[in-house]
Amino acid sequence: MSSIQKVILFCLSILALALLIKSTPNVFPSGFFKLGEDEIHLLSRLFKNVIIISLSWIGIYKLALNNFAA
Amino acid sequence: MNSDKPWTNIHLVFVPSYLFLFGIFQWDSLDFNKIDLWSVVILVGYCLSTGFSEELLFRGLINSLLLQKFFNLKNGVIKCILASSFDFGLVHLFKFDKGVVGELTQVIYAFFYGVFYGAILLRTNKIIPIAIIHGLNNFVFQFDLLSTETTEAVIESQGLVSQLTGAMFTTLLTLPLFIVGLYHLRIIEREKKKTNLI
Repeated sequence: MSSIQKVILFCLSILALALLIKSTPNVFPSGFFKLGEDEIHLLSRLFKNVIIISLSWIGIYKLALNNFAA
Repeated sequence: MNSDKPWTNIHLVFVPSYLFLFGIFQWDSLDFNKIDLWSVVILVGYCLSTGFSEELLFRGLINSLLLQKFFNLKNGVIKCILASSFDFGLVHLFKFDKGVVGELTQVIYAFFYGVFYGAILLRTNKIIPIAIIHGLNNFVFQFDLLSTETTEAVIESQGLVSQLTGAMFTTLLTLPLFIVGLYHLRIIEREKKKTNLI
């Protein structure tokens, strides 16, 4: 597999993972902390964003991209 | 992230301010009595987390990986930023809550944003201010969700002509970011050539 193919595959797998995390249903049950449906939806998306942040952060350091990520 | 590099060209971070002003001017049609503080706090947290997650994933990880591999190609920086911005645009396609016109517009303006943020990251050397600006920008434009109908309901009530007009307006509004981004990418390419010659 060429270098370009590997990078494309890597990018696609990251996109697929991000989409998978985004498309999962609400993490918090309805009525959580007496919040409305809209707030629970936002809170779930916030939680998923935190997972993406953590995974990206780990990826940046594992692949030693911190110089490029500035 | 990398504290060794100095924060340069700080003024570039404030280029999207004109969008903030535009977004805030749209708030005058909102009914603030319907909005409670707790919802605003959650929305701020959500928007900032979106800013950080998208910046770290696309600019921090994908962009950096592409630059690490293809930086030395002819126009390598421009190609890498365009590719990662295209990825960034594609991710915005998958919500399916804004109708066909809305989704395509979202891909285009996310692409414009991607080029701008990618370029200014390379010019400023700091990802955190960009993530904060990205989050605040999302907040300004999503604030109306707290007091109005859901996006799907709004889209259903609009005709195709008004959807197209809105799409064109949004594209034109974000076009300056794309132009500024391309301009700075050209500067980076020129500096890269000079460094290679030395």
